[in-house]
Amino acid sequence: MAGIELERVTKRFGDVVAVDDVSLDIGDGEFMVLVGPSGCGKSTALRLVAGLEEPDEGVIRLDGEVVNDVEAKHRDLAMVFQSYALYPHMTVRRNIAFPLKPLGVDRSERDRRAAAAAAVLALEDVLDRKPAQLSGGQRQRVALARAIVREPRAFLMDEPLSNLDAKLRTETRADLVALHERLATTFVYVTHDQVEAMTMADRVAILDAGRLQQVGTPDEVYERPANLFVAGFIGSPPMNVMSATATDDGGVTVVGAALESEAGTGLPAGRPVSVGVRPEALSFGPSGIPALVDTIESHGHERLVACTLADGSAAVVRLASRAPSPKPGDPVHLSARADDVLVFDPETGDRVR
Amino acid sequence: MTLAPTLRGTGTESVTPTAGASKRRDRWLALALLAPSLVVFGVFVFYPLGRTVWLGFFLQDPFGLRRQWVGLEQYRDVITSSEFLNSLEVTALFTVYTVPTSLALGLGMAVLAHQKLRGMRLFRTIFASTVATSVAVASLLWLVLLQPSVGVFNQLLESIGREPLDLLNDADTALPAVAATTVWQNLGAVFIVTLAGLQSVPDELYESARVDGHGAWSRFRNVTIPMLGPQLLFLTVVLTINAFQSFGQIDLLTEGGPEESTNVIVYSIVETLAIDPGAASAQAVVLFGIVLVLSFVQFRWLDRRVHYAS
Repeated sequence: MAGIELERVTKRFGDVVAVDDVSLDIGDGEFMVLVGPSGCGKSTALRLVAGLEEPDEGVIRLDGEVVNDVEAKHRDLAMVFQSYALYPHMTVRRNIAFPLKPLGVDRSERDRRAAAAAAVLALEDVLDRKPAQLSGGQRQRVALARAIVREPRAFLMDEPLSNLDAKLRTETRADLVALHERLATTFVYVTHDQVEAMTMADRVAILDAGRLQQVGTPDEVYERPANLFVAGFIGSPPMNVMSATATDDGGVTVVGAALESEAGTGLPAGRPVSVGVRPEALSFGPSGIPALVDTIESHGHERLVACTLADGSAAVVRLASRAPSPKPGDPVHLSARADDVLVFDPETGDRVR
Repeated sequence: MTLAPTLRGTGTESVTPTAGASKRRDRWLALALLAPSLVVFGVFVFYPLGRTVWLGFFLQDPFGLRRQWVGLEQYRDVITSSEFLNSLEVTALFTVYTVPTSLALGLGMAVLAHQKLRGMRLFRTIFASTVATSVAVASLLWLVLLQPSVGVFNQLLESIGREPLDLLNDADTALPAVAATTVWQNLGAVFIVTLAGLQSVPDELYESARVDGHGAWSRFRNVTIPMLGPQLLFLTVVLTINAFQSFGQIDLLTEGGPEESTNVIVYSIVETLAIDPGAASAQAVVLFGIVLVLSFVQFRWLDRRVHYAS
């Protein structure tokens, strides 16, 4: 097991800053998910930890030891790649046993440990096949078996589920969480899929444009996003963000309608703010923000009601499938409980309450 | 239950005659499309080959005026003659000198040029340039470099206080010297083919091996070499055939000498042709047989060890 620490790490490729002054502590045995849109620097951050890239600035530590100048092969980490990076000329057995070769493990012991790792991932029947003879799911499991065979200090995973179909992805998510519990080793997992991040992580680190936006448990980043980017990125559909004005009683008004704010915004009255409310926290009532229903999407277990506010902005309300629902074109009023209303500074994007 | 007899009935009654006519039409079309190639191959390959085999059965004067049937005896004489056996040995040595060395150096250069460094494009062009050089140009270039009195090689030796060497006129060094010029000429082709192969190997395979603790040599042995299997097999077969068919560089640099030390099979055939076309034909047929068997063995033996991308 290893604790991993990034301290003010920056990585540039020419003029592009891929990782910008990122500091992140990953605890021993923690399942940390780095999530963000394409090009946000999450894969580069992982490759910096792996030793496949060198930081331009900052310090990377493994178990407290600075590893900036330590080659990848000496870091004792295991990595699972998006493409799985299986050696096409080797059988599954040889692929899994390959990381044991540099350790000087003899052939019979390599085979024994490869078989044991294969058993963990239910690959016993395909040990003598080549990767081209396997399904996508099997290949992914071979890559995992190759990672666990060596009992490394930490596992690094770069979007390992993105090549699987939706059903297999859901199943493998659960398998990975179980594997993490079984191995009790640090996992650093990169994905662009916020559902993967929310369902698997002990903590989530959200990146955008190379900068770390927020680190927290899945509940924390969902309930209390640090800024408008996190509010918009985490959650599907994303948090509704509406233009509002601070009032002198610590609340806000949206399109002239008052929304209560539990602890008050602490902002001077009349100050423009952005208000964020999750779709499930909005409800229809006799009073509140006036809006017009546009469309209704039924998802079976829920319905998403898309509305347009008087100022032209949009808001989505999530309703249980059996809850009474307005029809497209109906005028409605939207309201929310005070503790569900988050207030952001529209200039910096940071949450002020 | 009701569908099966209907399908079977229509199938046997109507499809078979139509399929037969269609097959006949396809056969004629195939023949028509193959005809131009068959004519070209027939005139320029199969007929000369058959004619050579046939001529090998005769004793002839240099002008082909008098001919005497001797049958397989001539082939037996060729195979057992000391001159032919010497040529065979020289050719085998020449192949051993040139093929592995060309592969090793060309692959090494390709691995170097595969690095993502500034200015590498220039090196790639330089490394590949020998492929555009003809045997004649390459041989003359090396003739000048190795020339005993004014050649660059001996000037270098003199500059470090060593005696000049006449590499091409010494029976001990002539074959290695000619082999070196051939290796130089092979490098461009080996470099281009192996570099193209290297560029198709995904970077993740190397990165995965790095993270798993493998050093540069282990990555080369366990990833690069197996992934280049098809290219290396192709080059081994082609370079071996080329080595067995070498003539131009021998003719220009050593004329088979000194003391027959560079008298490779094709040079021997050309020399014999002027005296005894029948014996030369028999030698040519034996060479054809050797190259055929060698290529077959290489394919059978090496192909099993090669991984082809699916």
